[in-house]
Amino acid sequence: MAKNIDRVRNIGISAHIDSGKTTLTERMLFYTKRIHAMHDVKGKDGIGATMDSMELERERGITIASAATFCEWDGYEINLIDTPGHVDFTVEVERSLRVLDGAVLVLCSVGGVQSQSITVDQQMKRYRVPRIAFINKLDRSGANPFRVIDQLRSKLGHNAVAMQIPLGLESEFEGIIDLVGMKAIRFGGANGEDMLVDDIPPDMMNEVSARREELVEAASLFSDELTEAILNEEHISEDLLLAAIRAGTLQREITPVFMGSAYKNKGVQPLLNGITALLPGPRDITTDALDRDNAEAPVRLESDPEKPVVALAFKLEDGPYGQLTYIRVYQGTLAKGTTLMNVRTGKKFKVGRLVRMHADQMEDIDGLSAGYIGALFGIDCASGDTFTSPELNVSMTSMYVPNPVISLSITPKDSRSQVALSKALNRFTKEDPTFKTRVDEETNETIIEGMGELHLEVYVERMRREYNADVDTGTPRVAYRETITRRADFNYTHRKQTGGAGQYGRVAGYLEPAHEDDFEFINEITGGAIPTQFIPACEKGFHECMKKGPKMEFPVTGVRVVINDGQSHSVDSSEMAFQAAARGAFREAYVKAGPVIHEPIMKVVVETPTEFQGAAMGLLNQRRGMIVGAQDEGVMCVIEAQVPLAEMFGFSTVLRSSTQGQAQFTMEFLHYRQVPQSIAETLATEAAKRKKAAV
Amino acid sequence: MIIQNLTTTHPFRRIEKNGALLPPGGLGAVLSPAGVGKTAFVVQVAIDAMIREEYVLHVSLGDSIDKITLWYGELFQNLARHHDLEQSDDAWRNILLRRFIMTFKVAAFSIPVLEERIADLVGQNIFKPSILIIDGLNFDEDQSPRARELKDLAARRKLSIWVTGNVHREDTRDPDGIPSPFVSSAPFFDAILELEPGDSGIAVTTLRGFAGGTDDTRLRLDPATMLIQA
Repeated sequence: MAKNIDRVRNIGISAHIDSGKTTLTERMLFYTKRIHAMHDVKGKDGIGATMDSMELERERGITIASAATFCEWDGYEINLIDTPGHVDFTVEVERSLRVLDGAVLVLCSVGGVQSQSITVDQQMKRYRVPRIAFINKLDRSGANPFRVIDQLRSKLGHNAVAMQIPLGLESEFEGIIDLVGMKAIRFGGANGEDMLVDDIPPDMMNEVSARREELVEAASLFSDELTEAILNEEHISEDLLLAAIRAGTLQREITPVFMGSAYKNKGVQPLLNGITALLPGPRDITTDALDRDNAEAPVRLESDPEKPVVALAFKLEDGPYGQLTYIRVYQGTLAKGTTLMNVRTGKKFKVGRLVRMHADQMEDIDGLSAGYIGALFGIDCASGDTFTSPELNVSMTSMYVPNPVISLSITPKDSRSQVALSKALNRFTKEDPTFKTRVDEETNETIIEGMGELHLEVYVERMRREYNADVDTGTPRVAYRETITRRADFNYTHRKQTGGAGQYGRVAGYLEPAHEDDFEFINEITGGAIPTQFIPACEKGFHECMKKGPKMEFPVTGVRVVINDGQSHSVDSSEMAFQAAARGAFREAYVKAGPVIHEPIMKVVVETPTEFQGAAMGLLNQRRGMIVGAQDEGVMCVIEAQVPLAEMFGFSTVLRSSTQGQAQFTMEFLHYRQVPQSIAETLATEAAKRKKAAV
Repeated sequence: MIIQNLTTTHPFRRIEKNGALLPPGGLGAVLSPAGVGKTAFVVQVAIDAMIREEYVLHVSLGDSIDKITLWYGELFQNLARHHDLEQSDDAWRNILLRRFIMTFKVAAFSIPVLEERIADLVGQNIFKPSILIIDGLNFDEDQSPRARELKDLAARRKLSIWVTGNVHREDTRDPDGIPSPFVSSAPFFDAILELEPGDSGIAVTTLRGFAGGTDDTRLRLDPATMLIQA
């Protein structure tokens, strides 16, 4: 196992469909000698990669879409991390982006920056991932890399600078001119494996000089040494220029642009050089964990192999040999036989088989140190779990799991789908703690619960795609809650005499709003008005009522129950009688306690090109949204709002159509708030209808 | 105390002329060296207005929405604690509906762009501000053309506009006590306040346009809570 952490790169390749991500990844693995043959990936038009990566994998027997594929280039160890194809905000996406240190944004030289590139790029921006760009398909008719660079600037707001310019274009595309090394590079050999370095053709010198000047000027902002060299008109060395560009890249203030044609085997090796020279290594990125002994305060982790271990399980994969858990080590060294603790469960385990994934094989390794990515076999865990040395109590992700705010019933169409569905649910609940599943006691339906409509949609789609589960879904339902707003007294007697032993119990006291807890029970009975053995039965009776409010049948929260008087009968009182009395008391007091309905309010953040700012605000406003503010970021604008979840159904479609597909939004649960009177009345009518239908 | 009482007894009432800190169409400035408390001051102008059911558009040049939200939250909490406010959470949620935050990068900000955004908000019936706060203008450069545009904007849209501006301790002063970087813009302003750190907190000096001069009208900022006090 290599130990030089500065020569490690954990990177993602992000691209939109048809920009050539699959072909580029495959070429990178070929040149790094991880696969030994290349096949053309031809679609109907005979050009470019149109086969999807899964088909490609099956055909080739390679695993380019595995969570992390290891390869080596020029003494550097590169982990290519699969960036999720879906851009919706889920915990899984967050984790994949979290383990990246840098990324390559692949763009098509003909299509340029399209709306999907915008979405992918914004996601990277949100996670502060330094990027370099690769403009692919320079051999295609209509290729224009400089137009794409302009679009990177105008549409994505990148300070994009060309590191190279093309030698010929379209059918005459031969290679590239490296503006740092000032050399022309052509690609020879059967598969472009030979880089033929030559002098720059004299007729291109003017253009090359102008472009290099732009590059040097942009880089000079990040290096005093370079600025000094420019002012003194000294020779600017390759190392000096690269160091300045790297500094700008790490600060995300500059986006170096490489170019080529992966399909024609041109420009891939210089891109690999760019990845190693410009993108950050693990030590260039700061990572914080949360100290569980100190209210989850952030603790800086150090990429020191000698420190206690902190590692994150970021992806689980079901394989023929059981569950493979991909991990990234952030601190310390994880070796075979080490005892670690799963912070979430508190369980200790010994590290067994440890592997590193290559494109076409798996390599057993003895240990993994800070900054490295590998996989563990046979560990029972969930995605997102943190493994640490037993003496530490830190977590890479917050242990706070919010309650779901939306639910959906799901029904398999046949028995085969039933099995697939249960496999899928088992897997997803392990992957994502905010995704929950249960069986409704009344309807016997399987209910899935999560943090938003899109969140559930992503999982339903994955059930279909990954597990072939043919399912019907019901209408999404918002998790409303009920609570009380004022104190109300109760004094209820439960009495039943139907032959044999009767039932008798009286409870008295009051309900009042509780702000800190969902349910609080206080026993203030003195003098044995209710015998001690029946007090737990009273508590149970009240607690049961919290599951379903008497009025709207939503769960009740925030209630303090105080009992201060009561009466029992020596023969007829029983636990059952006091439970029934408590239920009656709750019903009696609840209606007097000013019950109200609370609904989940979401923090919605819309990112849109500035010209659609007004339209996006209008949409939020129509949805009972309170717009907190708008952040103008040049070409893009970020609008922050608080909107009731009930109003957010179908928002993504409406937003897309109002903004030509260029806006996107994220949504997370913020808090519960009382619903306006008019909505409460509608909900009451619906509840009454449901009750009627159920009878 | 109930929330409405917060404004009737607020120290701002002592420096008001004709029942308003700044009338519609008025342009006011809060000046001080960096880090003294301009943002805290204008946020309290905004909170006071929001409680009195006015709508405030807070424009910040350079800061994020989250940071500004924090300023508001913290100052309101301090205010609620200081005055033992009843049901302060509910009150806060209600008055928040009267605030809208906009942030711009300094280089991208211009009055025509701002007016376009305001027109959008008003036109779509999303938000109709009566008070506009602009925090973070740099008066080291000559801002007199911008001050003229702001004065016109205030008149056109019947807004009371507050801006904050950095001055320096070493700045020279004109005969009215206006710091030199601000002199060229000053003619467009109806009211000017200056914050000066001193031994007993941060003194609020009125340079123009407010009731002032007596002990009753002297305000200061408590450096611990940044609350305005008489």
